Amino acid sequence: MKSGMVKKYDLGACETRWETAFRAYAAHFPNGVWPGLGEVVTRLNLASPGQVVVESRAWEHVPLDGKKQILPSQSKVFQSLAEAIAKADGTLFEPGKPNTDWRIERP
Amino acid sequence: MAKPTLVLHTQAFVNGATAAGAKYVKAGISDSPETDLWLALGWPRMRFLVDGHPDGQLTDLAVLKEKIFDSYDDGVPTELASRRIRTLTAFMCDSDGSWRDGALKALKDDSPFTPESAATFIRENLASKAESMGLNNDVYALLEALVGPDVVLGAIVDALEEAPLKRLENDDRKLRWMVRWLSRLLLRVHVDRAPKLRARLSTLSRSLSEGRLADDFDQALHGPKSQQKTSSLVDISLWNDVPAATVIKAVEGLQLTRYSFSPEPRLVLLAGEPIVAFYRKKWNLLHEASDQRALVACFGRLRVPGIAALMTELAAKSKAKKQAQAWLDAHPELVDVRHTPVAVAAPKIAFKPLDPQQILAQLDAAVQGNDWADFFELNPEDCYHGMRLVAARNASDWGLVIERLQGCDSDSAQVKRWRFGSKVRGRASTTAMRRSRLPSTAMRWSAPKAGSP
Repeated sequence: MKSGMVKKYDLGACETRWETAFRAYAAHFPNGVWPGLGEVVTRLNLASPGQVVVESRAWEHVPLDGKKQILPSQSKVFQSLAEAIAKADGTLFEPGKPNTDWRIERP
Repeated sequence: MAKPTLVLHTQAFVNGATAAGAKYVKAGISDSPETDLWLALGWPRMRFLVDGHPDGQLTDLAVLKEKIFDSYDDGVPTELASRRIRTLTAFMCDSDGSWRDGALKALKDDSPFTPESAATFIRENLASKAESMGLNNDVYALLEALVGPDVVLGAIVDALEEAPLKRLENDDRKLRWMVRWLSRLLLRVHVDRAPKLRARLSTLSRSLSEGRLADDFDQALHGPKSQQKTSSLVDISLWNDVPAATVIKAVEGLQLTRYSFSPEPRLVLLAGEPIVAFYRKKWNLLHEASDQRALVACFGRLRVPGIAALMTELAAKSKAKKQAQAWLDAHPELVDVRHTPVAVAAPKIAFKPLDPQQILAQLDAAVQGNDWADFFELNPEDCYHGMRLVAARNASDWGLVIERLQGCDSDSAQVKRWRFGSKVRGRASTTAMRRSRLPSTAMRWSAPKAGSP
């Protein structure tokens, strides 16, 4: 791991050396940790070869939230995702304010 | 052979911090205090001149006839500026394309402008009824670049006050080009001169009867408070003293086309990050590669959230990929790893539309069944590192995968996956990391091969 990566990738909050290394590695070589898109699409069992409409690693996700739970159908982000998929037009996807980064503190 | 050194310069910003528009500076909005000031003063709606440009040495009239109308987007060769001003002002040609005498005479005249000769030129030009096929904003922009905004605006106001009212009431193309430059000049003239010049222009404006010229005057002097709603992104970019929400509403309300859309970084000064998001949505209205490169050049100097995301998108899809990628490479510190933009957003594919409600129903059912990708960590092995979604279509089917990258050591590292779609239902499955791909505790890596998982 190159010196300066902890600063560059803002890894100061990692709790272990392994976490630091893994997150730096994931940031620096995303293809090293995320499966290829072809493999992912294959797992969808589409009847004929599919085309990727949207790929994102930063969007406003709907987490599980007990009594305060909102549903994807109530989220503008997932509504736009459903529109993008339904119309096969990735540009319709509105990622919202991303909350998928590991650094974001959650209650 | 070594490339000549090009030196950009302009008198447009000669007043610097004493320019009337300097009060609109937002410190830190761009890459330097100088650019912060330029933005406040209407950059890039001005002109630079270039010393050392090889075209500045041209003397062959046949070549000059071709070159004099080049766009010179980065800056007009200093030696050509005077010829260009005169030629644009006097240009007329016959139906066979041959230049008329007046145009040829203007092309041959390379005598430099002094403040006095520039003022005289402006007054004579505005008083003259002579038509020109080449006249445009560049005349005033270049005169300003040569002799500064105070001389140009002073001469314009003098000329208008001398002109018979009848002529001002005429919706004259020459006058309308000039009026469109007024809002820029009013930002850049000296702060002490601006109020008087504005007051004289207001008096002139009030004397005009209704018409396009009066509307242009109104917009130049009163911006968002003008009677007629503008349809120009450029006009809005030159507004001042207006809430960001008003600017955003005005921008979003425009019916923009490839002909009316342009990179206007000053809008970001007025309304901030939402304007960057707006350009992320609309940038492909810029059809010409040169316009897309201009977008990278202008917006690349801004330092507000969202610029890196815009550049990432331009690096992936635009006609300015090289320039946008060079920006990303040069500014790794600005690429916010927390807000990685959408990696793929494929333009419309000609598949039959499906019902989005059915898609959402499947996702809702997963949440209600507690079988859904979440951030929560029950065990150390669930330690969260990131999430990804991949949506895909074919002619009749759809699919969505949400993946969760997790683990606390090389044994537990995995991608947990939730699948949805016409052919699958969202039960979780996992893919373990290949140990050989993971960083060791000694933190020594090598790059994975392209395409390897």
